[in-house]
Amino acid sequence: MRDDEVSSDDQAADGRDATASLARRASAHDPAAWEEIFDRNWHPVFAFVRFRLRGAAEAEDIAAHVFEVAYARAAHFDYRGVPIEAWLIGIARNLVRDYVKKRGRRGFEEELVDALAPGEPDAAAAVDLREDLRAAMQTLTDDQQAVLSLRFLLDKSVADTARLMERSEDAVKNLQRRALAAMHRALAGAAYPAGRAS
Amino acid sequence: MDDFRFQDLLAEALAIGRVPDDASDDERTRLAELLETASTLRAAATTVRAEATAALPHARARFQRHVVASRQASFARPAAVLKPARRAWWSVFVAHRGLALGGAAVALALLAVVATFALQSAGGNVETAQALNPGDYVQFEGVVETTGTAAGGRSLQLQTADLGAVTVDLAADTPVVAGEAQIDSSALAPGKAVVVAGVVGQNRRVAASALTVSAQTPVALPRKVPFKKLERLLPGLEGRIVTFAVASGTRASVILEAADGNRYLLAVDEQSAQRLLALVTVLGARVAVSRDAASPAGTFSLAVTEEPDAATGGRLSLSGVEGVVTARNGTTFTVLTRGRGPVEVVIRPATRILVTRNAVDQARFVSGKDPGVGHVVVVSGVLDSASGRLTAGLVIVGARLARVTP
Repeated sequence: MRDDEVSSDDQAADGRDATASLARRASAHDPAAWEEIFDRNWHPVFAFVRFRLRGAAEAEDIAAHVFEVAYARAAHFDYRGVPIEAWLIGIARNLVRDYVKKRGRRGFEEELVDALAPGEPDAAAAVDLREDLRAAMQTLTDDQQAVLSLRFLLDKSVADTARLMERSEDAVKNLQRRALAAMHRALAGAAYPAGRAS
Repeated sequence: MDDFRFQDLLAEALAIGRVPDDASDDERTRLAELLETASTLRAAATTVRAEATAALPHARARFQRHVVASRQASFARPAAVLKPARRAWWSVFVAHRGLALGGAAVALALLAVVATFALQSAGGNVETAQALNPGDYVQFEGVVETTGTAAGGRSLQLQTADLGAVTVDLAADTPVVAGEAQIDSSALAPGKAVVVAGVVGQNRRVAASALTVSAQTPVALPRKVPFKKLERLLPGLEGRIVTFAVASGTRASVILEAADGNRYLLAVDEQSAQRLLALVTVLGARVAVSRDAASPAGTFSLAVTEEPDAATGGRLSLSGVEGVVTARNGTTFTVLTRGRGPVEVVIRPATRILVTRNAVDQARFVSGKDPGVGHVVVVSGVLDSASGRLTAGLVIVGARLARVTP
């Protein structure tokens, strides 16, 4: 038993060391470190931004930009136990917030959507992600969107979500309750059977 | 019902995938609803993951280009430029999030082009080069100095106040307009004041997509007027657009003549550029300059305070439309607009096609492999009043509209 505990502690320490080493190399703009960071975090960053944006192309653009911004700011990243993923998610939150804010002011495409979207059916739309989910997500607060993305799109635990959002676990549970309730209301109870989204 | 108890019950329900046994009837009802919503989200996660996987190769390649370009930039940058207080002029391009073509790589390429232009232009200067880069779609004013022939058409040597000497190539089918009528390009003689739309090539040449004679009586060649690059907003700055350049689907710049006669080169944000292009003509538009805090540094917003009078002002006879591509047949698109209904848009080899934010693969769009149906486009070109067709000089392809699947 004691041996197991020591081994587990050692593994955790090794993991922390490896992450700290990766963070140091990233701060020095080591390309190999950044390749590793990109491959490890592309899916979570993409998933995190996906429902807040209008389509996969927008999500790809913003997610890709998250890594470019992170790379540019790498020298200023202070590891100190903050997961790199949390740092990237933080950048993603800010970029999405700015993008949505700016797009909201622009109104060009939104106006066209309102004016033109109810046109002829488009077969290609079948591959698009659930528009109702995206629209419902837009009605939530930024924190509510973040908690739902982390918990259910990225499948993070409450503890991990709390760490990534820099909140307490109780605060995450509370936020998750409110977010799911708001999402349920926004979807007007019209939940789809699993699989329809794809 | 106790909120703390309920949130704990919900956390437990989400962890075990069902309503906990100790929940009351009322709690069960609410928990079931929220579990169903969570299940809906989790189901969508599979699709999101598939999308992320599909996007990975392209995104990885983009990031690798970014890393390489950033490293090259840091190696190439002289120590003096590393002073944090001073931003290189091209940093506005690097800072712009929408620069989807490789960020700093493009900035570096532009820097090289600028250097080349500065060397090529005997009478020009760095300012000139900043306003005129190969690949840019431009609209500008000038006066014909000499005329000549070029492959398949004519060439004009123009003198301009902002850009210095520029050679304009006219293809046989390039529309040349005087007043309201199309004229033969052979009527263009030295001393004619003209406005030109086209794409910048090498050696200070512009392939014109349209040209308008703005003054029938000969005028003197303009003298070069220096302009300043606007880095910070000047309170109350207003002026008339005298040169307009679009460099990518998300980047454009104008040279503005202010009321006091000073001229400023300024980068404008994407939405301002699109709105300008949707005007009948951009040159001559009076605009007020402002700063959007969300825009990259050195980028400004323009609000049109007075549209130019195309009929009396002798401005470029262009038409702008914005709408959604609903059909395509080869080089002809049908664009559904709000104001004009469906408009047929024809693209030609000289048409500049730009894409915003990776909305579509440019090569596939140009070749027709991706017809672009469903995408938002902004088009600037020459309207043939007889056929109602718009021959495009510039097409900017934006996002594809999402539709709700019933």
